[in-house]
Amino acid sequence: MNFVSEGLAEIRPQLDADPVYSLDFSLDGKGRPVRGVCAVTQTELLLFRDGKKVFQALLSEIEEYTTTQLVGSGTFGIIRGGKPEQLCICTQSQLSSFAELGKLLEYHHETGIFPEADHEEGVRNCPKCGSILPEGTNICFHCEKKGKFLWRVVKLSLRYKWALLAAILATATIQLLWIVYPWLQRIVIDDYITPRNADYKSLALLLGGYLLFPLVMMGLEALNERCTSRVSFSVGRDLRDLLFTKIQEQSMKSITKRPTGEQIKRISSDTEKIQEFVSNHGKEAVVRILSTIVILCVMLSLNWKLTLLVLIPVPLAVVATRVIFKYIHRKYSLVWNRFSQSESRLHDILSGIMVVKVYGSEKREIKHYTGYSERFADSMFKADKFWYLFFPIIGFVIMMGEYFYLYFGGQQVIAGNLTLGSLIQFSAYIGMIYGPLRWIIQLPRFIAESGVSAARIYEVIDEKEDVADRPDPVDLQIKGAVSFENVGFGYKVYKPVLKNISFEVKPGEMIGIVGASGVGKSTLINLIMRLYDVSSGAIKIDGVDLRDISQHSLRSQIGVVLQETYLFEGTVLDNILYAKPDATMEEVVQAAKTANAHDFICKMPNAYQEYIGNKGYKLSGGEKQRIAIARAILRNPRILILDEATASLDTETEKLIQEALGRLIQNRTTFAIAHRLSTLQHADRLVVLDKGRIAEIGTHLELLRNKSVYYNLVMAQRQTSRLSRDQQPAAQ
Amino acid sequence: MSSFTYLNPEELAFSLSENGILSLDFGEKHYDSVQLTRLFPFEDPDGMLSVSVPGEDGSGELGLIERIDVFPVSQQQCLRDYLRYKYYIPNIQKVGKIEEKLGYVYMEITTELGKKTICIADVTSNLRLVREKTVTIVDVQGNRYCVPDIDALSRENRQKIELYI
Repeated sequence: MNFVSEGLAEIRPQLDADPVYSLDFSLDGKGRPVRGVCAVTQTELLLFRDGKKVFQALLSEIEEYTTTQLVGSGTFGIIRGGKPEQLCICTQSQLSSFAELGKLLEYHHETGIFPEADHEEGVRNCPKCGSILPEGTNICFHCEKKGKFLWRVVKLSLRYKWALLAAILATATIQLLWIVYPWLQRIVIDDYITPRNADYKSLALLLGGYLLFPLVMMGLEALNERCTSRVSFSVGRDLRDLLFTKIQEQSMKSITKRPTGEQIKRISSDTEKIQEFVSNHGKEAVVRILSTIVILCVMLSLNWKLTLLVLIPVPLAVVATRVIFKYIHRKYSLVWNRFSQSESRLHDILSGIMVVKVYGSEKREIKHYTGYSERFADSMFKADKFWYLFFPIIGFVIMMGEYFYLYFGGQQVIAGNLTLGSLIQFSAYIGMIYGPLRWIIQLPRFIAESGVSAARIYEVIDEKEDVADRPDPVDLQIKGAVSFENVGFGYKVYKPVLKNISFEVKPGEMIGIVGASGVGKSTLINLIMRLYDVSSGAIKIDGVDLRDISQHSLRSQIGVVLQETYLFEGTVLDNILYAKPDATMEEVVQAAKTANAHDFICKMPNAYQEYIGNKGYKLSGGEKQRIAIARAILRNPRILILDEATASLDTETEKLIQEALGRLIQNRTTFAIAHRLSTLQHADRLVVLDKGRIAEIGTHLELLRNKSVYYNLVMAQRQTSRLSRDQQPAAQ
Repeated sequence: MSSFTYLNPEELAFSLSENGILSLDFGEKHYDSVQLTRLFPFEDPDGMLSVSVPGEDGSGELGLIERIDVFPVSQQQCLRDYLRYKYYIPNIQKVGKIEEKLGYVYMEITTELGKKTICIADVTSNLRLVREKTVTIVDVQGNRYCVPDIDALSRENRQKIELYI
């Protein structure tokens, strides 16, 4: 990140010394454009607007630096004497630089050192073309050529090189045999029919070869089909596997970046398109281009003048194709977008079908979906209309060549310069060359469509992992000691969620995490699971930095029970076994009993093998929750995370689940978040978060005695419960 | 259900500092810094504005302003200046070359601030038709842009945007 302002020259005379850092800001307090500079010298922070100094403060007086994201802009400010002061307004693109500046100055505040700016955050530009590099990738999508990705598909196909080679050779031989046909025709006409040669024996032998060819071609076609299918399906499978594996390995941040519908489309439709490219267009392109060259050579050797006349319209058609291709590509991109929107909508409606039914909005949704579907159909219609209008015109231009052939070729036969057999042979070759040429003209369309799909696939595959294992990660046998050391984290650099979090947890201890909504409780446990990496500081397990532990080793020893339990399609058994696929039946039953799930499972007709449907729709919320607990018990985790595990349940069910959880947490380090504070009063310690910082730590009783943040939360909750109790009889 | 309160414009006196801090005198009380939030920024930008105080527990809403135009002109100016920077969104006047590279859209645009090329990730989410004719765009840096009336663009420019909506 560059901390040298573009407007520095203008304000430089007003500074006593060279600034350590300086940044531009472009809006004034009324949202009007301004030439703003924020400069930091060894001792002071200064602000200039349109070259005029408007603010000056000693760094030693500033306690904290703040950045706030607004809707279309952001602000940079300080805290001085305990009071926040807003200093300047910047655009969103300048905001991350100000956030970084704040961090550097806070470091200076603590250590007295002005650190070098790191280059991990903020805006990065392509060194080649200067375009902005999007977050999470090092690929400049502006410079990158789509052909490069299709080439990677070709390289992937080379894994099946022998099958591919056999398919190419078979197709090439078929094409070659087609070329021999007109040659045989010419011999029949020129050597037997025209001179009235009655050597029927030789003629029959010649025509025998004419009949043999189709048989050979049939065999070769079968071989071609078999090998082509093998290559294309294998490439499709490989790409799907690569893509699915990559998506599985991505961090939550990367996964949530794209809608589920779009990810599914990339795995299914895009790979299918590549499959089609390999089976039809890729291999066919090689063969058809080769056969076109061979036919051209034969034609030129027969009569080069006539060949050139026939080919006159071809360059015209090629130029027209290239020009129009640009527009076609745009039209088909629109088709892709419309299709994607329609698919996402469908996915959305079907996922929320329960809500649609409950609110009786079926007709509204039908209208909605029909609208998307119509837009897609309309775009497809327009794109195809364009294509089918353009295609016959190109065809007509090429057919003009046939006119030249008949006119000039006919003249040469009459003049005796060309035999009738040669003219017919030539005619057959024209038919043969126009077919591949028409196909080759369509090739850019196929390549463009496949190129877009390949690019979308490789975009995911090439994405830089933001939460990745180090080269030699540790496979740790976790005992359960967890320590937070000055942990800071924000989903965006300018929006810190957790600040300076430090506390230590002993193995087997139960920690309740408490605080108002949005204070960072769930973020804290997401960091323990390493769904995201900390922005500053470190989290250590048994003294080892979380980033040094292999993610598989870490997560295989963490158990999670969330408020929203996700059950996969399948049976109760499948879902419990998800935590430990090699568990015995006895272990499964024991886990279900401990989770208070065994009794209700036994009441189902097929007990543990009852099919519970998509997302477990056949079960109640409490039942799903108990299966999730059984799953966690079976895993026997060293660290357990309970995120609102008993929220939104009735009292009776909650009691059953509390009992199950009580058994589950024994001898495990547990982090629990609960909205109802009463459920956490038995925790060994409570960590109270307030505005992203630790407000206090202690037992339930200690914190009540403190009469601080926790006390206020408990009192507020008691008052709410009392109010709702009082209102219930009144309502009745 | 809690009800909301419309604040009486006569009891409110806003002032905006050079640094963009909006303060308020409301009845007997003075607030050093208050925030305005458009509840329906596209549907009704000048109506239904929430006035809140950034407090210890996040923010406390003082009430709602029904409409800006019922305030005296100087007060209207003060509120509009604050909203101008908070909702700073340059309007797109012209759309130039658009290139789609691997799912990222590079769009050459001209706003009142001049010409620039923006990069849009996940164009389905970040280029949206928010009203019948209004399009908003959020680029990879979080900058927002707006086409207030897509019909006001030239046919060629409109078609370029329509590709994504």
